Amino acid sequence: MTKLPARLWRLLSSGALTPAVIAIFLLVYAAIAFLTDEALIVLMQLVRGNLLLCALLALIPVNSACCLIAETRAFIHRRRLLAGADLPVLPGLFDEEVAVGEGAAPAQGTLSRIKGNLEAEGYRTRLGERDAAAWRGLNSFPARFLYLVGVFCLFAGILVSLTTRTSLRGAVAEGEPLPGPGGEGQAVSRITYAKVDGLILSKRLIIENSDSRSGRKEEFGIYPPARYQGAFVYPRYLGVGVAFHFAAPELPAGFQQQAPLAIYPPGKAAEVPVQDTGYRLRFSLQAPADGSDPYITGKMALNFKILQGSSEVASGTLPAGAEFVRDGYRLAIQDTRRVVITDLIRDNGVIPIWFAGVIFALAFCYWLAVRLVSPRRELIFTWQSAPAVALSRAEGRSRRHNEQFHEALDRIAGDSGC
Amino acid sequence: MTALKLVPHLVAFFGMATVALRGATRRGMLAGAALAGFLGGAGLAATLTGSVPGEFTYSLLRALLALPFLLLCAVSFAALYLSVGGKLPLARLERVAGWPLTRTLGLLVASAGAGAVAGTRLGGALPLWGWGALAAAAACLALAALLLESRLPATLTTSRAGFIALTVALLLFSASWSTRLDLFAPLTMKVMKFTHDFVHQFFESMLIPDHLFIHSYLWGYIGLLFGKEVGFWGGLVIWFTPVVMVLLAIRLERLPSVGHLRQGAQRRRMLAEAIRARRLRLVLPGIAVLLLAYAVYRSLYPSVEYWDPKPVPVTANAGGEIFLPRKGEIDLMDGKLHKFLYQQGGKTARFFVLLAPSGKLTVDLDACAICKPDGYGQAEGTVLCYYCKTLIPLETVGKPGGCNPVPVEFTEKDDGIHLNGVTLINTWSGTVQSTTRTMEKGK
Repeated sequence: MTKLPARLWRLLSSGALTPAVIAIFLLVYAAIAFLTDEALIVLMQLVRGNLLLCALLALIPVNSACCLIAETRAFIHRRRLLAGADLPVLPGLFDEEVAVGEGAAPAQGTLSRIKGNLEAEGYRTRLGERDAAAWRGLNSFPARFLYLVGVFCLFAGILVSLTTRTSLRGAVAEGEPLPGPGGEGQAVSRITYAKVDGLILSKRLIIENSDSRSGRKEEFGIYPPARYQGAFVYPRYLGVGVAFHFAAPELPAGFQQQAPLAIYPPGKAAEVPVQDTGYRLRFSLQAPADGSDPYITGKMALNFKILQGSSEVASGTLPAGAEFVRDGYRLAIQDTRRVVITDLIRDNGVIPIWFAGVIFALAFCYWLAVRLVSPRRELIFTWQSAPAVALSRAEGRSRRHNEQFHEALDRIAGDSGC
Repeated sequence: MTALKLVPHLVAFFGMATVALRGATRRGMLAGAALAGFLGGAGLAATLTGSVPGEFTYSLLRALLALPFLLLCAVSFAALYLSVGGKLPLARLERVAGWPLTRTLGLLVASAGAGAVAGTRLGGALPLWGWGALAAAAACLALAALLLESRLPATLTTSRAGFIALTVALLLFSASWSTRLDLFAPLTMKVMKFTHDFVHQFFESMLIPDHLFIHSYLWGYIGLLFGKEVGFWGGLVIWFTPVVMVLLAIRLERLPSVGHLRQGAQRRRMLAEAIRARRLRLVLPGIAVLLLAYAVYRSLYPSVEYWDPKPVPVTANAGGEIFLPRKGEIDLMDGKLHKFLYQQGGKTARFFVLLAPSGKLTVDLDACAICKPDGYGQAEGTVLCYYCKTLIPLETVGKPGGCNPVPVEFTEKDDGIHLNGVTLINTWSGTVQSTTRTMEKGK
């Protein structure tokens, strides 16, 4: 490797790179937090629109991929050393490296005694012609491997989500075409809303979308989100689509409008201004006396107030299809429909982020089990080159392991008369 | 009284000087730099506080106090990373940090920070003899630091990270005695806001359904993330993490390799000495933990009283309009916070009217968009969120965001204030009820 690629590789596979990048983002966040209260939103917008920050964020998945390669290579190298391969001892592979003598192997009896002691302690041993190795426990490398894969997925997902996510909000109403990201789609045949006793969800919402020609039917629920034209269907909140006709003494021609109103749950009010007249219509959903949910039953009655400036000129309650007439004022509720305010989201980062969560959980479970039950400990004595070296490494219970290591070194030194 | 107010800041200055003198060569120069820094900082801050009205001086100082904390974060992370076997290209930086001039400049800046905090408490009204007394007291303390340091046992050393940790802890301890410079309360607020935004963004990003579709008991658990406790505990974690990392870095320092020694007793002695030296290095960061804990205590229990009027019930006319006369039983123009309570259709909204320093009236909910609606109290130059204890400068009341009271749309006419009852109730419902898990009946 020439100098520059070698340096680049060292940088990209350094364990300090990811924390350093996160620290930079934390610093940027802290600086933004001093200027605005919406620091997270501003930071996300900054990353979205800034190539440099995108590249900085991209360093994290790149770093985890490089670490994955470097650490896998190191792991394989160490395994091969333990298996007796004639390989150089790379720096950082072991916790401790001690020179023992000038290269002559100790007497067979000494090695046998060391082997016996280590096996009595639960180590597995291998005695070669010019080396000896002992090990016990399970490697935590699989957990590290999973962790790095998780970091890769998480930050790659975040990067993809931040830079490519598109969202389209629309009102999905019964009988109206589904507003798709690729243009309007087929009509929504029905919206069903019901109580359920799930572990997490307390309601079930199903948007049914059917094609009368082909007879194909699609259903979009709450979770997991279904896809429509490549976008996730993400129901946000419920409303009522109201079609009404309003006339006043000085407005005999009337005013016709259809509007999705955010008046769910019952009691929540919304106002519709009647253009250029000074009139406002305030609607709210009437709570049924039997305690039922009007959105579930579909029996919706609307409380209304007709306001002119700051005074109320009429008020009442009307079910769909009914009409109110008094003092020259006329309000007809022609239709009410269930409406779901829905986001249609294209985001390829969602699945890698969820995947990362699962991988982190697996990595943690494996690491905890191995660390508690039987952490990896390794010893190698090699006389393949002068000076002979003893190598030791422990992923846990290192004090007891070091005692074994030092005892073995004492025996070798005693044998060679050092 | 003024002299008493300065005691904690002088203690902080004394502590900084003593720690910086440990192991230093040019001790006189260091003590002089500490004295000059403290007096210079105090003078500058007192002048600024006296000449620039409003929140500017305090905002500037808070930002400047946050910088050493961020530096400590970086240093503690590097120390921990190095102690667990990591490698960082810090040789050049280490060399620069080892220069006597660097230590002198560091102490000068740190003392100036402590002096500046003291200066804001003095204001611009201190007579000349007062400044003379302060200079004399600081000089005596610098001499006392020289004396004390020379008497400390030579074995009591610390790592560079430990030295920085204690210096920063002394600065934050000093700042915690001023409610307007305290960093812990704004930190908890920022953590609350971050958690709130993060949970919101996480739900949005991961397409998790909103509370409408989720069991209320489960939403109750999620709601815990929006509580004051998250801000407090999260703030504590951030507050103590750098110092704990320094302690860990020292505790996890690798013991010297003894594999080359062939006598067990020799190995044990070498390890015991290393462990003893390591324990002694924990003393100064340990003191830093205590100082930071005291700063948190000061932040949680500030000795200030607030104006908190009982909310006055108001009604709307037939058109849903609430009218508040400019001058009636309640004088809206008196600069005090006036609270009102409005009920409509079983829902209650609490709001207040306040004359801002700009001379314009502002109408806001008695709640913010992130905390539980415990309301606000008014102190000199600020209002305080009772829930998260954040101080909001009066200049920013009426502006949305963070822990600021949520502004309400209104019309100001000659006779008074007009606001829409539905808008008020909807604003309260939309922004406040999502932050609370308890039914709110007004105060």
